[in-house]
Amino acid sequence: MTRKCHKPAYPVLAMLVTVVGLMTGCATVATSTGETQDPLEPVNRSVYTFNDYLDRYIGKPVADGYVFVTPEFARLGVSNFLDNIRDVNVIVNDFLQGKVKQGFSDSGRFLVNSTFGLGGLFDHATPLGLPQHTEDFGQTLGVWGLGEGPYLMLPAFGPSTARDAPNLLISTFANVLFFVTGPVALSLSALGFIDKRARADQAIQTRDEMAVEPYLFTREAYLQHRRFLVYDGNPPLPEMNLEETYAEMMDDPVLLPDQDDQDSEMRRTVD
Amino acid sequence: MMSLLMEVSPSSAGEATNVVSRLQTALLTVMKDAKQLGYHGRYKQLALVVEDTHDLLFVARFAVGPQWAKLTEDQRTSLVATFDRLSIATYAARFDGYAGEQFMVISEKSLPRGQGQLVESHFVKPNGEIVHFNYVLRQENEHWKIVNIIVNGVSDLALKRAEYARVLEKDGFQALKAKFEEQIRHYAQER
Repeated sequence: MTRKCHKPAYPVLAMLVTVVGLMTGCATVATSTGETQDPLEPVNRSVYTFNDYLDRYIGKPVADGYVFVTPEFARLGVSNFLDNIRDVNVIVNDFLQGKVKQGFSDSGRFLVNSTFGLGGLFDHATPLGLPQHTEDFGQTLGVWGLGEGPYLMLPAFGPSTARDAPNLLISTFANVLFFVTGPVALSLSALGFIDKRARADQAIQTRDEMAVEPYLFTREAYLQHRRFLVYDGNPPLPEMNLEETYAEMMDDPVLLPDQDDQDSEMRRTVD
Repeated sequence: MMSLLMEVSPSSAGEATNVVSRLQTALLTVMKDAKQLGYHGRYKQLALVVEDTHDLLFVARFAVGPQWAKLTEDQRTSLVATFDRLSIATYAARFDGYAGEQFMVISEKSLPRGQGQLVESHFVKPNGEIVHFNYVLRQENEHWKIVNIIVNGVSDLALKRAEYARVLEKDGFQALKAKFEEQIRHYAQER
């Protein structure tokens, strides 16, 4: 997965891009054979283990408790409210990426939900043809041509890259809750974490069921999904040399596809 | 949103699309009857169609990577057989209910350098949310078979290659096979 580096068309933010560019370079984290380079893997694995414990003993129990005591309609209201606040960050990044039409659509969405949706508790915008979009500063840097940089596992926040990490800072400043002080802000921030964890529960469960090597599964899934978002759902196919394996299979005297009928029959029996 | 989607009719679809449609039709059928069938019923019903529509031998071999050359013939046969059971079990476990979901084939196109066909499809949830299910198929003995499934940009084949090659290299054949067996048991117990 290689993206050519080029100068951003937005002079105001050119300096910021330069700074981040110096930090990450234009290097991607995939080699020409499609294998991911992970220079910080030993540290990342330690942080992954720490995060896993953190989630097991705090994140999941708190999220499960929240789901247990909160009716579904109330949880939906909380999710809508927090999404509406996050939409400000989406709008900023729409325009930074030059998606003017989408930017106006998301602005309309924010206005509709903030007013008719009672401060964002109800999503009246989606049925009106103003769907939710997913944009953040990491994607913006990707659209501008900045490489992913090394893969990072951030304590408490989870998977990221050098390119995505600044998004934490930008999304904080773009969140209206950052400018509210006192116990209300603290409670809402905590609620934001709990809501995110509760909504991620199914994805985490899927990972736990399907992963043979959870650290690598998380890393590969994260990096590929981020590319999917940067390319707005149309990323280049991962570089994989399928032909080589096919050629080897043709030379393999043991396991040609039609020669394993006995195994096939065995597989159809249920465990 | 639904009206924007185009369902490809079998008559106008390519061979690769027909293979994907056959799999997706089978999945929807077991999803609709999920509770009556139970896990074991879903496994039985999906086994043949999964084997017919996927090139599981290729997937296993590609995922193992260069370590394949170091395995004995018995180990290769055993690994592929277990991997086949795991693949069917994964489908049987994950497609375990129905709430109005639909599959829509969007397009079929040839990949560059003769790398096969790409069939793009959408899995539409009842709330209108779309999950992108893209399939890469290769032709083998005049039959198109699925070798990769890319869900919302995440390639199943790339995930497996990253995981399996490392486990084999670090912990060996028995460890990888034991992990497969553990997953199959887990799927069977949970549902």
